[in-house]
Amino acid sequence: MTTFLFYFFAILTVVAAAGVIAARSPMYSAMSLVGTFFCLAAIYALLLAHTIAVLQVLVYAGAIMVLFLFVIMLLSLGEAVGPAKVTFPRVVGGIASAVLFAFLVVAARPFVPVGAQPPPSFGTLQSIGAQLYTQWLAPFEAVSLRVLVARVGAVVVAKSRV
Amino acid sequence: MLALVNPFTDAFPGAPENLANLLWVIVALPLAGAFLCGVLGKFMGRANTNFLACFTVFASFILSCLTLWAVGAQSTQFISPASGVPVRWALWLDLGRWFSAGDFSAHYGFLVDRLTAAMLMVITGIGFLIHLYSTEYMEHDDGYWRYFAYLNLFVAMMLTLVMADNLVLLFVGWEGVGLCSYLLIGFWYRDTEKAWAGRKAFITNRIGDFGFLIGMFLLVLLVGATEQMGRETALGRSNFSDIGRARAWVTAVHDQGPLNLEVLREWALRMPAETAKDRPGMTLGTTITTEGPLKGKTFGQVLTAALLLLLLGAAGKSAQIPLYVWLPDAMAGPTPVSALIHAATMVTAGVYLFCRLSFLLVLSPTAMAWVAMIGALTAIWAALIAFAQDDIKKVLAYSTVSQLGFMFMGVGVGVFWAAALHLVTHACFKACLFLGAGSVMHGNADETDIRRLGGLRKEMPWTWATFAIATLAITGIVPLSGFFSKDAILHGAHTTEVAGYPWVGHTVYWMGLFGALCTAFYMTRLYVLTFEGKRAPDARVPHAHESGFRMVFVLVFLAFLSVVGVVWGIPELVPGPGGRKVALMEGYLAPAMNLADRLASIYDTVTHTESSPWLGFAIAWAVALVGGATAWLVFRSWLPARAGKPLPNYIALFWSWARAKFYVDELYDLLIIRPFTVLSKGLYKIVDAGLIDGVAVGGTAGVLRRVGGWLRYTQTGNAQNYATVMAVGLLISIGVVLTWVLR
Amino acid sequence: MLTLPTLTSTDFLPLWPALILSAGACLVLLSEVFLSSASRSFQPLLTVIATVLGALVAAATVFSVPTGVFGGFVVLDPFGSLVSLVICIGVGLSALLAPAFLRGRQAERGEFYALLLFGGAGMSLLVLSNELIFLFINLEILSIATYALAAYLRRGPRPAEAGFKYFILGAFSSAVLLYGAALLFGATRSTLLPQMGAELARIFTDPTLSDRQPLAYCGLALIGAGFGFKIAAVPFHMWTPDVYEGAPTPVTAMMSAAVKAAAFAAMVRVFLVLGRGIPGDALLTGFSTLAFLTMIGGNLLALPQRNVKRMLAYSSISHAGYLLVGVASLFVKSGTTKGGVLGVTALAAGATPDTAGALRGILFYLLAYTVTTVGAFGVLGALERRDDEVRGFAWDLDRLAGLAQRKPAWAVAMAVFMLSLGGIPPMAGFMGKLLIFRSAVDAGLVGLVIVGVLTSAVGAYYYLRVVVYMYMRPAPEAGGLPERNLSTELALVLSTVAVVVLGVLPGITGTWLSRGGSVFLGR
Repeated sequence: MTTFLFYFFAILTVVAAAGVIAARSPMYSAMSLVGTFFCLAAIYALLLAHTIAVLQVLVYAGAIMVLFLFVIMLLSLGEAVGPAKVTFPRVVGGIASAVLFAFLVVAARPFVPVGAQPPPSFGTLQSIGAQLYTQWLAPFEAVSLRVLVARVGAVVVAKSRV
Repeated sequence: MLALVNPFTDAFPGAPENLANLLWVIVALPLAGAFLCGVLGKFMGRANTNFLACFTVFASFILSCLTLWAVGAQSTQFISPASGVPVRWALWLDLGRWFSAGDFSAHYGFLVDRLTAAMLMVITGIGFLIHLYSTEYMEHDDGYWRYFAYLNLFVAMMLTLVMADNLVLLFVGWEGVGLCSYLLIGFWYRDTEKAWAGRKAFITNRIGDFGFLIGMFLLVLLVGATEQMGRETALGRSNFSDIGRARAWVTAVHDQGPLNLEVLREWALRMPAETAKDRPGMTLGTTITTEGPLKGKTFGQVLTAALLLLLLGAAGKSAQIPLYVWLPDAMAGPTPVSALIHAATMVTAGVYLFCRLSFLLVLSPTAMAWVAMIGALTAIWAALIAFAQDDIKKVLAYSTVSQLGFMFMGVGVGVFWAAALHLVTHACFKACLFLGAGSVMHGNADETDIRRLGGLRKEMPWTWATFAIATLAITGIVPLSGFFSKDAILHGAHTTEVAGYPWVGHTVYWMGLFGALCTAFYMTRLYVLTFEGKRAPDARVPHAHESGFRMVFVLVFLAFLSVVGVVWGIPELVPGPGGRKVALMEGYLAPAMNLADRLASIYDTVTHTESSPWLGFAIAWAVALVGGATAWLVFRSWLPARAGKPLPNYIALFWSWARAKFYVDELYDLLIIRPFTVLSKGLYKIVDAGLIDGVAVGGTAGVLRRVGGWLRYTQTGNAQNYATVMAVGLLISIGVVLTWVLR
Repeated sequence: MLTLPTLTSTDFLPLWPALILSAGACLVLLSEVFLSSASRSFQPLLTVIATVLGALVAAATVFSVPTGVFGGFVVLDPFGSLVSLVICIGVGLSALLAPAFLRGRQAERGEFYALLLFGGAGMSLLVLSNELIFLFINLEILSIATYALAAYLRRGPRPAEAGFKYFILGAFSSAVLLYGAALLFGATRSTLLPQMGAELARIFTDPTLSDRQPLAYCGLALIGAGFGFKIAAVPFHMWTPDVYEGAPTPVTAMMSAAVKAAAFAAMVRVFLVLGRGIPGDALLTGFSTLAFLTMIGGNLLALPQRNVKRMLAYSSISHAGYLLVGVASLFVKSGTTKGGVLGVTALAAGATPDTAGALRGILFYLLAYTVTTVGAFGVLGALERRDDEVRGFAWDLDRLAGLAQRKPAWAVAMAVFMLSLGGIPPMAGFMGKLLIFRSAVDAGLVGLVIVGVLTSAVGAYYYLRVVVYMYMRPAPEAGGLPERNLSTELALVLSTVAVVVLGVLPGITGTWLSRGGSVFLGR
């Protein structure tokens, strides 16, 4: 059952992600992205990482997507801009990506879900917090620096002057 | 280090050897002057630059005087690094290692013995006078700061040359004076001909420097082979029987470097000394057995080769056959520069080098014979060319070449003190002559053709008087300085026998006598045409004016020196080594030359027969008088009387040949320059322009540029295309990896 | 029960440069808030002080014993310290170039310097990262800072385009790198580099685990591609010319100097630690192929450029190629000989791969290239004028024509930089190439070195062309003189002196760089 659900959501994730770049209308793209996020959250849940799954839905599918949609609507890019042109680079890129994907599938073939049994505390907020502040302290602090940089960068790029 | 900075700590000036700590200042002062004049001269203004340039050299001169006093003091000595025994009457300052490469090392050190002290007096003393003179001579030139920077640098480099305690540092000065001469001869570089003269001097000197370098390498190899054989062969070990001294020497070879003068002195002493005691050991005839380029040659052969190569170097610097051609053209620079080059610096370097290495020279009679013969030939050759030159500076230039030939004669027959003495006296009167010529040009709108001068005696009395004195000095009229110095050389040549070359002494003597005759002739001609008679009708200015105070003062002072210099040369004046009565200069330089004399007597390479010099002096004096009188008669009465009539054929022919400098420049052009030009042009056309430029470079560049041009089209500016390329690259790499793994 | 890790002062030792740079950035940001006057000239000063302090601290840790801190996430080793030092130098010099450039465009803002410093902090952390997630976050810190800086000047199409293009492609490459890291995690079940290295060794020796080998290879290849983007190796180089040209010149200087150094160092660390367990010459082949392509591609593409800024961008690609030769020689295992351009030639009989020597060469090259390229971009930035940028010939060769008459000192500096980039003695670039090529020959990579020397000869053409234009072409009639600016000239003087001194006396870095040969490899 878990295996079936995993493949189901996994395929759905890939399809939705492909929809993000294939859709001509920004709105469809954004909606496909929401779909991707939801499917990812489902996969997290299947991995018993419930906290991450919830955060995924709350933060990405909730907050960030709403922001995306606001921006799209504010810029009134509602209409599709005509059918996608099939250019040589796109064809080559598409084929290359597909073959690459096939290769990776071949490479990852020996790995099948084994249904490991993690400890009951796995994925709880408490254990995540404990992990973050002990073992993963360095990356955690680095993330805070990264967020600060991203904010400053966003201000710089968005400001009107200059 | 503190001692370096503050030498006035305790006993100074009580203890003369304390002066050793100050030696570096002698070089540093003009060097700093050169730097300041070159960098700040333009902003400091003319007066400040003049002052600074003169002051640094003058301060060096004061220090040189102190040094002279110090090396004359009984207590002055230093411990030789190469033998551990004290060396008297000399100062040594070792500023530490300069560089080392493998086994080879060189120190930055200064050595002042009495020979160097005498040179210091000439360089800084006459150098200062020339600086002083230049302040007036260059007062209308905008490049004054450049000029004084070069001039100071010139002095600093020459001081480095004479004070160096090893040949490597000496070579720095050697190259430095070459560079400075190039800069100063081509000082007015906008004039193509003058720039060419600078280049000619530089290139000719480079040929000599090449010889010098190889000579130095040979000496390095020689010392290295000696040290190695001393350790490895039974024969060599007996040379090193005095363990303490041998150890000191080996240490010094590694620490101070093989080209340190003390190391070389000890080497020269060690080589033959052991055989004299009739014990087996390495001698100059021993074959070198250590691996290397010298294997199979004897020590003596290598030494001779090295000395002959050094002779080539010295011939380049001191303008001897075959490399003399640059010096006459070198008068293209400002006249004080010519004076500096001809008198105080540069050309004396070759003579100094052989006086400095006298202890090596006396080990090789072959090299001595070469030096003497080259000198004698040059002396006559240049004098003959000087006969027919009409440019006042050219006559003086050839006379310098000729006089340097005399000095080489002296070196070659082993009377080093006489060569050094002639160097000093020549510096005085030649500086006086050149600066007098400069004064003449200054007063005659830069006229240098003596046929268009004349009658200046009345118009430029000071210049006339000093020039006359200097002319008498160079022609060798008693009681002026040139007489005794030149005739000390001639006397030495007459009474000396170089082992294996018995004919050299006499040949050189007669050639020298002939050279003296020629000297008297052409110098009198120069004097007569310039100062006597009536003013030439085609003179540039109707009336010459006497130069200003500073120039005249310098001239008078130099003329005075030309007279009093005679004191140093009067024979049998003071008691010398061995109870003989010797000339002042011989006695003074004895400590510096004693090793050469000692080696010469041990090895019997040079034999001096004792005889009274007075008869020889009388002959030389008569010769000079005859030469001078002939010239006076010819140019004062005979020629003016024959005005309008053609000269006899043989005279005219000689005249035209001498005027064309015997076509030596043309010969060099035909034999060396022309073939090289043709060859290099051919090579350039076929190999460089055709093969390399056309096919290799042009072809490759064309293909590459075209490929680059094609590749540029991949750079479309479209981010999607870029991502595609990346994806394809990724695909290929993963594909290769996987097929490889899963194979 | 939660036990907080006990952190000693040693744990923070390697982080100090990054902390100082971040603190400096925060100060600059705060100063923008409390700004009372319009003068912002203290901001570059503050930036430079922060970088100098960072450099000093980094230098102070060079002689500490290599060890892992922060639970093995961060390393303290001479290699990392020295690269941190190079990064601080690069960022500091770029910051010196900025004031004149920004003033000329009325774009002086504290954020610029803050982002420079944040970027520097990210780079410094990146070279110390010993764990893939930490490494990825630090890579993102520096990338985000650089994206924003590239798009800092938004007037005119080029900077915005540059920033956007850089962002899109950078995100793509980050994704590739992350994907690779995930695959490697799958294969090794760890993200700590030393543990991964040990696990990889097990995978390649234990036959029962051999089915994980493809995954490991794929992960390595993807991580390599991700780094290949950051260091601009062919075929992941395509963004370089557009972004370098569009970004503000001081930012370009920082990107080509410090960002490249950081990415290189991180790549070397990752593959050195992971590669210990990988048998055969897979890594060698990979890196030598990259080096081969990058040297040839970069030089050929630079050849037809008349736009000097683009030319320098391509030249930075080609220099990545030379550095990759050094990296490739790290992965030569003794005993393997295989002919060909990319392989180990038996020509150098008894060739012994000298890892420490190769690392030393790479470090020297990074240092030399940093000072050279910052200087070159500095001259270029000082010469460009705002109104030409739109028309696109702000960096044409003609801009440099007759510079020797107009600005002799600048021309000398530019000539020094060009000669150094061209690898002509006695400049630092020559010594760098010499060291790299020598270690490659020692390792037996003769074929690659021959390609490197040949492509260097090609490079001399376009570098010397700049010198020819400066010295042998007449100055244009209307060529206005750039304004003098103290900090720009200070940066130029510093880098010129550094280039010459490093070229003439490379020995002064001797003991330091020999220390830099020791990399913390973990358990």
